[in-house]
Amino acid sequence: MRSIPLAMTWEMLQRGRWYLIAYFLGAQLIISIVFGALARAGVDFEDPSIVGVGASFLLTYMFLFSVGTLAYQGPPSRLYTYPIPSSTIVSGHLLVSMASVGLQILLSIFLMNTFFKTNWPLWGPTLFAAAAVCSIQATTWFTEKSAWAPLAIAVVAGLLGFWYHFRCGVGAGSHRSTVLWTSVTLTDLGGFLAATATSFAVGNIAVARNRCGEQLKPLGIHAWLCRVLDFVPDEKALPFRSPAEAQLWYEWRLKGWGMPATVMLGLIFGLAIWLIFVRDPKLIGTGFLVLGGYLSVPGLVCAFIIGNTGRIDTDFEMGHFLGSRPMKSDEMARTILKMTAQSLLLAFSIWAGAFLVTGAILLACGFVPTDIIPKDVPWWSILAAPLGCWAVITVLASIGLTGRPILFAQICCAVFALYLACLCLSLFVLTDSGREQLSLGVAYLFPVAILGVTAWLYVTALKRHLIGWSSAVACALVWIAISSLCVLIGMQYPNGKLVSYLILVGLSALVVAPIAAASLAVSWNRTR
Amino acid sequence: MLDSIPSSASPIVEIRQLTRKFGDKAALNDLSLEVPRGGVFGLIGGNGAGKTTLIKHILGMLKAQQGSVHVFGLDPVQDPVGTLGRIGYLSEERELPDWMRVGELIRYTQAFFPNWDESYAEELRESFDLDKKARIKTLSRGQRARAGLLVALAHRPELLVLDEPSSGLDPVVRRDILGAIIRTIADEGRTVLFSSHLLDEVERVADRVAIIHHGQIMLTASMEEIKEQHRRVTLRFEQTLDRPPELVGALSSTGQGKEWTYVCNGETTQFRNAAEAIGATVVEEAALTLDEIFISHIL
Repeated sequence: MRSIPLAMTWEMLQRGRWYLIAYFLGAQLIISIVFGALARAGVDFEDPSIVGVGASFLLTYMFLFSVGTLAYQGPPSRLYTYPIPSSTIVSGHLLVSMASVGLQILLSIFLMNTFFKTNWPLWGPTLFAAAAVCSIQATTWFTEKSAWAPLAIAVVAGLLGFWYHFRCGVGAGSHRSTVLWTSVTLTDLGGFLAATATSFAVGNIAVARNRCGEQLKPLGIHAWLCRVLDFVPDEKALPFRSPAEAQLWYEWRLKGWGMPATVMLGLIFGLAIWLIFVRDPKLIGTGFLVLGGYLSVPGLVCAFIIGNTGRIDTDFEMGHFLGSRPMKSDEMARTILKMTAQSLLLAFSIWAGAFLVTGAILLACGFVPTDIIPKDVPWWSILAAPLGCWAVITVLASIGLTGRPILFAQICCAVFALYLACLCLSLFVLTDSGREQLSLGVAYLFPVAILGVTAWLYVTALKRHLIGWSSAVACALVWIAISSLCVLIGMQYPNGKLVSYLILVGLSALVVAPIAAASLAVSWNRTR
Repeated sequence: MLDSIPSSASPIVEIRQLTRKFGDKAALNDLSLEVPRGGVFGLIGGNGAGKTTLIKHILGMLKAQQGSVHVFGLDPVQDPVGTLGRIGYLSEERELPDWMRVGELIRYTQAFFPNWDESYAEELRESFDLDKKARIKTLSRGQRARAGLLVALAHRPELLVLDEPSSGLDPVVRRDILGAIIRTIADEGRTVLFSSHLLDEVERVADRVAIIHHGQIMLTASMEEIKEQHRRVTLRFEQTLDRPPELVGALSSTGQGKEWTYVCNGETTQFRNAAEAIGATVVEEAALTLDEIFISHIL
């Protein structure tokens, strides 16, 4: 290596090139799935009403690329003992992240414009993304290991968001929604330069300070909260009656809080949004229903917490401590599923309790029930929301429980490649009727694949004595009941097609598949 | 290499022709080993020799790709409750849940072992000076090791498996705690299997030793046998030699000119006769430390 910056850049790319690739592909997958669907629906991406959607997706790109870049760069602390000045560490990191995020945005917009004819502008978002990532990075370093970090990052992110909102007009009404940063003004350029220069200056101060162990002075609130919330267990607590009870306690204490805490945060956040922006009592009910209906979304994150049996957050391989418990793998898996069920039950109870209390207050204030619950909300959604949430969490958790994240990433990449192949085939090769045949084929294949994999999981688990026949039969009955209910509900709607019923039957299997999958996953993870 | 078992009882750990590969690299290569009941069994080897991989097989965390592993006559993969319930284990990383308090760790671990001895656990906690309310994450490395030992010992396991127990412990803790525990367990007729590359420690406490190198057992025998069989013999030759002559029973040799020192394995009479036959005289013969024996086997 001829220079320190070159060596630093090489080291970063060597250690984190897979993060870079994974986040880039992940972002393309998410956005191309949505735009692929919109393209099939015949949406014109140059229509002014769609411009706001484009602006939001550009933000998604920026967020994902920034997270990926920060992940592959790693903390600068690993370089603190090298004989290099702090300014070199700062410039080595910030320039690489700016170039990396900028280039990814540029390439992504180019791909979107090529494939979907979105006509998104190149330079405004690219320069903004580069300035934004270095601002956030410098703020993170400046508040490292400090309770100020969330506040400072929120303020900087808020200012950046306001700037972006002003130039792209996300959700800013009909006039501004047509603005998509088509031209980079001198003011914009001044802003980019100011943000970048400030970031370099702040970064230098931060790294020089962090290098010798100095941190920002704490507020004391964090320490006080830790003292207050630090629950000291009862010394006279009775021993656990069984290993399963002890393991359930372990799982609950470690991961059970995930979903209830998500609901609590969702309620607080939703209430704040309502108080600041909405203040219409009739929309409270809708807000509650949206929160309850979309709990599967935060469930995606909770699933990976629940499915992690590793020593650290990024290592899913079961550690020695858990692996050496004198307990059968299927029993261990059952405690994880039981904890998940309890966590979900508590989460939905909190949601339902808050909804009931709010509803009672609104009724007492003279509102009628139809003001609180919109008429078009189907009754079955009250069952579908928790079942869907259970399926999402337990299926993903089972994948996590295998302890093989690289294998999972490879499968994701393969699915992405398959999807891209189908998309290209659909866009460039097939005729309209061929495209329809392909969609129908995928629609049939999807539930059949779910049913096939579920059957294989049960047969394998039975063969390995990881599930008993009685449990398997009970799960089959539950699946039949849910499928029947889904089909009966589906028949109430006109124009129901066979493929729709098949998809419902396939999706119903996801509710019971984790019973076998979790046991197999734990066993596979525990004994390698 | 298998040797005769001193006890008439069946071995507590029986490993036959075990092979384990990670990718192309063989971590264990056709390894066979028997750990007899009772006493302290030291597993010694350098970094990457395969000690931890072997222990993971004994605990059922790794499945034998080839060969078989039996602990208490059971397959640890098929019967984790039957085997792990009778094993006390302290991992090299001292892996314990950071979020737990010491008291919670004791209460949690107790549930898995029907033979848990509450008074013994309390006695150990007091002697290790562990505060029940202290969180694991706030413990020092030494205290963490003590907490790990406590939960590994308190159910009075038939087999105590310690993977590199000395790392992270200061010399005083090593001598006072580890030595005492290992001897206590052994005296009670239980078995201790511990891996280490700190050979002075193994020499102090182990009754039997196995040397593992590149995934193979190079030697297994009782400590007395090993000491008796390995001697350092210094020979003086009549003429100056550039290279020492090959002699039967010699493992390695160092020296220059007329004086060469050999490390011998086995009965030295044969070696002496061979030396005398080529005109060499024995200048000195001495016992070897385990450290020297280990190095002579792996180099």
